Amino acid sequence: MFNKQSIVTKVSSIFLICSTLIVGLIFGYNYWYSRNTIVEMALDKGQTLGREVAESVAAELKPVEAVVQNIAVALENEDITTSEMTILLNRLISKTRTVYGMAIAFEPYKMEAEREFYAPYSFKDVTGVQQKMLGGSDYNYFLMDWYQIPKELGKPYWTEPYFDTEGGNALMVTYAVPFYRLVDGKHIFYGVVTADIALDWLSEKMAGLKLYENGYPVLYSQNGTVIYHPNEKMIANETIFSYAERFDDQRLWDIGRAMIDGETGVVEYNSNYSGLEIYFLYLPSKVGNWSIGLLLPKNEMLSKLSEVTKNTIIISVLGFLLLALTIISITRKVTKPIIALSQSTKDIAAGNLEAELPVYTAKDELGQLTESFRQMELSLQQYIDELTATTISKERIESELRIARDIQMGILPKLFPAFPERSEFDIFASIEPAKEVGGDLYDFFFLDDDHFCFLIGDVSGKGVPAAFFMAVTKTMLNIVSEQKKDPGQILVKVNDDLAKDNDACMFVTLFLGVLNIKTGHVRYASAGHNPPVLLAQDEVSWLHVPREPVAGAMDGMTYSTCEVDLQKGDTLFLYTDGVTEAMNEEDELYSDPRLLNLLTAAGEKRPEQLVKNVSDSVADFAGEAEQSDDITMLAIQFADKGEEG
Amino acid sequence: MNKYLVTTFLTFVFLTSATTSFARQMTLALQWTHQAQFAGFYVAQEKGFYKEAGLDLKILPSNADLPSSARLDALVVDYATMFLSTAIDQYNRGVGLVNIAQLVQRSSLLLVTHKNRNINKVEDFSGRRISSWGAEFQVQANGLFNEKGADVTITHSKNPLELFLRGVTDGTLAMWYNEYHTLLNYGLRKDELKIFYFKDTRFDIPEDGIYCLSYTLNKYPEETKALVEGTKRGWQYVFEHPEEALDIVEKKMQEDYIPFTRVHQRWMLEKMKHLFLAEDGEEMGYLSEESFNNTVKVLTEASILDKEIKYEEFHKDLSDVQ
Repeated sequence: MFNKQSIVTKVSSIFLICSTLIVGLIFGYNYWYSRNTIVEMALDKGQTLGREVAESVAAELKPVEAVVQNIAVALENEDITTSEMTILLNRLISKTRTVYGMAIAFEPYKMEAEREFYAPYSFKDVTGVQQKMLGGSDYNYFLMDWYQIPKELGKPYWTEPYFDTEGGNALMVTYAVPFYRLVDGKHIFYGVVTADIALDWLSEKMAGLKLYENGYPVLYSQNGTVIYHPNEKMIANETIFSYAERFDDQRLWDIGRAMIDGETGVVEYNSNYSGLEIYFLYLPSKVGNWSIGLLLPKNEMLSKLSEVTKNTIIISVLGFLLLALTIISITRKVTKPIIALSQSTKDIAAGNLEAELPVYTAKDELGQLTESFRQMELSLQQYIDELTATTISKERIESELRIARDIQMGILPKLFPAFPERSEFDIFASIEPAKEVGGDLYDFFFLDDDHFCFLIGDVSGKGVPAAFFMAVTKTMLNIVSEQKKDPGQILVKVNDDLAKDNDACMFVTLFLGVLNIKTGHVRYASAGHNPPVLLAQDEVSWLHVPREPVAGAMDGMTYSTCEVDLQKGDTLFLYTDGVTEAMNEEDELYSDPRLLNLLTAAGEKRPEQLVKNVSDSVADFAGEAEQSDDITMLAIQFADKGEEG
Repeated sequence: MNKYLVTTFLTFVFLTSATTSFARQMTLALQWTHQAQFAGFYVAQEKGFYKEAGLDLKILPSNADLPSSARLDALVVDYATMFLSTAIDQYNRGVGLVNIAQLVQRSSLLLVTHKNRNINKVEDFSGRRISSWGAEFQVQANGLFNEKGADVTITHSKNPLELFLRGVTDGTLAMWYNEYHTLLNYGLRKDELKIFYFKDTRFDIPEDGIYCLSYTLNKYPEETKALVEGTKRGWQYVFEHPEEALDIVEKKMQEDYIPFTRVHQRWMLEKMKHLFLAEDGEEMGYLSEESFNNTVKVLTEASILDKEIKYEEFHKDLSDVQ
């Protein structure tokens, strides 16, 4: 199927397929590499953003940590009074935007011997900075996490976020630092300094971060509680784990676990909140054992990639089209002269040797091809001219041959009955020439009033030489028989004459007979010719013929004369081997026995009928087979009608 | 003139003391802050079941510093929910309270520890530390530790979970319907925790019930009955319409700025359903004598109870009330 397509189609499609594969490979590799690079870069940027977020959170909270820690250190000094503490706290609170309240809570009876609870607390409200004392049976702060945990852990502690009922239900988180005093040489726990930090500023800050168009940050406490999420309803109400439980999302749960374990990482994830495919980057915050998450939309992060992809595809498609057009036009250009050439060749094949070959001047392969075609055209023309000349000459020769044939036949006596006024004998002869000019002959003539000569002969070979030899032989026989009356002698002389100048070594078989028309006595001689058939009164038989050599081959041969007497009505049937060697389609020969049988069975003695019978029989036998040799027959009947009136 | 004054006065007294449906608003103190644990009460309130029964009820939350039992004792509130063990303890101290409904039929208390603490049986708690909300909640734990001969330090805290999470204590008491799920929501996996359920021990004692002083029952029998009936109806509705119940709980919690996590409250609701329905097919709210006796036994062993309590005196079946 492919092989039937034109060269243009074949070459173009193979070329285009190959170039598409190659370009595809190149593009594929490039895309894969670019993608990885872009993803890496995007994630790098994400990591950087993460660190920036961590920095910005820390930037606000670290100073607060420092302040509280410094107070804790300062409190190790016994000399600070309550009012001093209060003044300090008030000043700090008014100076620090993010701090809503601060307290210094003492161990029972440590500040004042009779007071179990001692916790001065300064805080902001609408009127300004206020202070009060915390602690009482309805506020047992010793068992609260902001007191108990730093006490137990011996180190600073960030509480979980909570809604402060006293502070207008704002979202708060408390930072608590234990402080100690040296008592009797021992470092003992004395109390806790706290700062309550309102997280509204944090929410604002996080909400204001530019993280692509649809990216956002999240902030979780050390237990996974949501401190910041763009969906306000999530804040303090959910942990990342309760959220994962809500959506039955084990992946998110695992991410949450990694985050509260303080790990850094990035995960590809489908956001339940925004519905987008995202990269979830997470890293620990520098403050509070919190963890920061950045949810960055994949499509935006990889926008460069999709741009690159888009452009590359456009270029590839355009390139492909350009390539296709170019290759098609080039192959067309190449095949056009070939098509023209093939068209001209068709014309030549159709017989127009004058056909115009397309002009092609370039010296490339096509030019050579065109040149070759031109040569071929010229040669063809030449050849045909020669052939025509040869044919003409051949035809001339053939026509001359036909004329020769006619002449050859012409010299044989054809008129029958030959001697209608003669009743002593009847003679009939026929010659059916084969295609080619042949060498059969027969003749009959009066030697004198009483003696009638009849002869038959067959020259060897075929063609013009045989025809010449036949003519010569006949003429010679004519001449010699005028001189010599004896058949044997005639043959001897004719043989010698023929053999004399016979370089071609041609020969002729002959049978010559002389009939005494009064008596019916026949004298005869044969030079290697087929024995005639004697159709006598009661018997049809072969005439006895001495086996003597053919004539014309070698001189000095002797030929004997035989004699036979014909009764009235007897016939002598002479023939050449064209009869007995006639072949049918099965390559069977007519054969001597068949001839004899026919002549016997026919019961016919009259020459014309006899010859006709044999002729018909031979024709019948031969069927459609081609006649290969002249079929010559001569029959002579001694009638002796002289005595009848 | 005296007669006229007396008549007026008597009429006035009569009018003011007439026990009409909306004569007196009753108060109920829940034993903790608002959450799905008390969903039935909120739903009964929201759906008007109390009103329909002729009760005008105000529902108040409690916290560790202000236990419901103390408020009932002081008659600051008319009704209170509390643990059966707490109530018996109060009774033992002479508080004239009665149980008018038993909601939680079995113990939902459990001991949680982290598998990495290598505590595989109760005895392994010996020499270790656990956190607890307070003495009131420790009756079963103490009983269990005594039985197993484990010497355990119990640290009280307002936030026992945080002590446990921060590694200060090796284990913590927790409620199956509450703190246990909170731990899961704080990133602990079920397979990381080892749980000891008190309901699998002989300390499987009922918990939440509704109580009032016998004085209140005598003085306000209709209201009390209405409270119990309304509450049962409320809980029925909750179990049939959990999501609607959660919406009501959400509203209640958010009014008080308490963080509402739906999956957590839903867990709580599902567990309450298990805990409310007795295995022997008794209807909701019924305190079986068997459970009562078992609790008495446990508390007696724990030396909390030092006298005999009669079941009929302690638990009042309100179907008798007119």
